[in-house]
Amino acid sequence: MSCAESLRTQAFIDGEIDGAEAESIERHIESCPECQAVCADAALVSDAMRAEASRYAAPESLRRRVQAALALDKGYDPARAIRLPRVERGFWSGLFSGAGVTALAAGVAGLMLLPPSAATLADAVVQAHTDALMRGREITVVSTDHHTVKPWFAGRIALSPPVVDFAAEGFKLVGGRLDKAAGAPAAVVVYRHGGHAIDLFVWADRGAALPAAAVSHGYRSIFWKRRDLDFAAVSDTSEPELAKFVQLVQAEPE
Amino acid sequence: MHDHRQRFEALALPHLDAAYNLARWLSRSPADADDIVQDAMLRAFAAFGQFRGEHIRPWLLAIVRNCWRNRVDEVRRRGHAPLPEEGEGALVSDRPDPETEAAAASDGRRLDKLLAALPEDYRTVLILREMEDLSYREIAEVTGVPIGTVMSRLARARALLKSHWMAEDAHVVR
Repeated sequence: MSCAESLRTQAFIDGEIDGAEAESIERHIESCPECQAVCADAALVSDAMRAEASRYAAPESLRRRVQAALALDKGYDPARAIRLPRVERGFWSGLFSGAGVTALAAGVAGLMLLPPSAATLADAVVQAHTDALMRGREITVVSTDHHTVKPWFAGRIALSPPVVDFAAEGFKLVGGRLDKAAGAPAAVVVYRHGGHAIDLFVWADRGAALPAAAVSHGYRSIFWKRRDLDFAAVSDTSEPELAKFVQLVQAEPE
Repeated sequence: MHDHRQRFEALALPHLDAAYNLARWLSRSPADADDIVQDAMLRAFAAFGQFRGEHIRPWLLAIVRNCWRNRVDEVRRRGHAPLPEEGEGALVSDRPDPETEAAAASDGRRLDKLLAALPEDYRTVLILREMEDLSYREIAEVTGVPIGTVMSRLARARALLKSHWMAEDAHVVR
């Protein structure tokens, strides 16, 4: 990599940068294909390691050994026998397939499908919302800190959704995930309001008509556009509450 | 003295898994990881009186890494055969044995194998960042290098792991 900002981009992804510096590096990433690749690669490795690499827990026998040794407290004995490490094979435990990771990379590259009609769009985001809830997959990155949630999106989707915690107003930021809306990859910022989940879908605008508001299977959705992004807020909370949430999001400066 | 130990155990034992995971990934051997962690906990207890930091985890992990380092040096001084560490990629030859190849069918093992084959500097920085969620400053404390070095190692480690992963993808028939 040759972009002089690549290490700063990485630091942003790792949640090491916030405030004005984070905003400036985000603007840089938007215009730098190389740093976009840095984001995507870091996300790929991070997701793969968290999902598939083994994190070994200390065996119970070791815990007891350590406690017994501390209780005796004979001090440290440097003359302990040194054994050669053996090359271990076959003890690793694999869990998941790498297909998801590959799919993610494809998502970052951008899927171009025809936009659906306004009516089916309302059904589609509600469907995505309830699917995620039912599978217990509504949150991939769990955090109430926008400094964690916002960079998480940077490597995974080619758009930067607004991520603001409205806990003081009763809408608590709880995390984010990737999903689909209008056949396009969407960033979903997840909020909690009382006992209700609110999903804020954000995807790249491709000129499709949006429904203003809709009710589908008891779930409400409100749609709007802002510059080159399309938004949908989806929840089973009451209409005034969802409208209040939308106003908060819309009132945020870009 | 008893209180002293209780205070140490209350602070340090919650990080036993992190200590073991690091020792396991450094030594790549369960038996050695056991010994390294026990050594490290006793040393940490002995040094606990001087512990002034507010975060015990990086402090403990630094001791784990030192204990591992000492073992490697000790083995070398005694003139034993070099550890797998010395021949980077000792775990992964150009032609993997049938067992390893079969294991590669599972992605978890495949990634573990690639991680284990990374040079220690890169492996450690990935373990600390992606598994233990340490900040750059904490990783610098554990590995004893400046933050700038942590950043460049992390970038290199991610690029290496990704390229090895992609290279394997091209060969492994799913």
